[in-house]
Amino acid sequence: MKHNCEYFKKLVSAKMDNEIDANQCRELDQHLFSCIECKLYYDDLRQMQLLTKKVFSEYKSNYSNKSLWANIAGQLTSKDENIIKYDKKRLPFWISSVVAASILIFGLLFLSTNKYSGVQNKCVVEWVESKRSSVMVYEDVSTKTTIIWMLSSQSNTDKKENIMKGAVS
Amino acid sequence: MTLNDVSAADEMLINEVIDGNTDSYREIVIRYEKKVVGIAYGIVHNEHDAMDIAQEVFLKVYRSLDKFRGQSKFFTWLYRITVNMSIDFKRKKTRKSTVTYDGDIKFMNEIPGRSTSPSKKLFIKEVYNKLNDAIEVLPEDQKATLVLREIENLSYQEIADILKCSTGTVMSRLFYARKKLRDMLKPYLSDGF
Repeated sequence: MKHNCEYFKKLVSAKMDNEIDANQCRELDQHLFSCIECKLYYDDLRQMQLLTKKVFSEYKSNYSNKSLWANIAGQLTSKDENIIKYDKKRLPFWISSVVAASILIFGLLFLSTNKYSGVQNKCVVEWVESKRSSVMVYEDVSTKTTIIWMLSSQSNTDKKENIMKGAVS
Repeated sequence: MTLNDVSAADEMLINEVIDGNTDSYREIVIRYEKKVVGIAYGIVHNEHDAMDIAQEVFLKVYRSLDKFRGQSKFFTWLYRITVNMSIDFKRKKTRKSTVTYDGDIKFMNEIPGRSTSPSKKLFIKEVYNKLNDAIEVLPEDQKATLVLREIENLSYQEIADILKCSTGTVMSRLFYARKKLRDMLKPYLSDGF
């Protein structure tokens, strides 16, 4: 594929930086052999690169020997140091998530258990039946009152249900 | 010391800083301050501004060390912050900063086989100032690419990592930057520097 001079001038620039492969280098050398314009461009760029590197080296050598550290150290506050230390001590995200989820689950379980047992703690009902009669023992834990009902056998079933409903509510 | 050795040493120092050892950060500053100031100077063209930028860069890096995940080399991250802050500073600065060098240019004495007659020295100073002016008017992206290449001798891949672009873009920017500089310096180059 035939390339134009713009392509070869780009290769010249890349060659200055040793960023072309052997094939491209060979291709460029062949073109420079026959194209005067690109050859002049190559010579100018080599000269200019030398000058540019020297100019930029002046930038670094003009830099004062005084270290920046004295100024930087003075601006680092204890807050900056604590930011680093805090982040280091902070738990990984997944551990924090597991702990938070556990607390939430246990909290919900605790609340639900208390609600259920709260109804039951309100009263304790025990039913004892015999052939002739039934005895219901009603014990209110909060007031510490015990009521014992003696019931006849005929109305035991209805009364039992009503009493049980009333005790729970 | 290879780049990998430098990278490993940097990582060790960073871990020490994160563990709370501020002295290790001093080592990082001393290791990179000249390079950071050089890059900043190449973009903003003012020594005092470059020093201010370098200070801000190192303060920002210190406060952001916990965010550095080690996905790139430390110097890649550091230089990226330096370039971005320098460009931001340049944009905010409204007054034009001019650089006219009146003192002796050190490299004049390094040119082999060249006489350093007064007229030659004057010529070189004129070329130096002309080149500085030419670099000053380059677009930001081309200037940053040229600075990273000519000051730090970074490869196209390293520059691409810092500037978050492709190597083809790096090659293109350098080509256009050098083309512009060459066009501005053509009269001086033909005189044979």
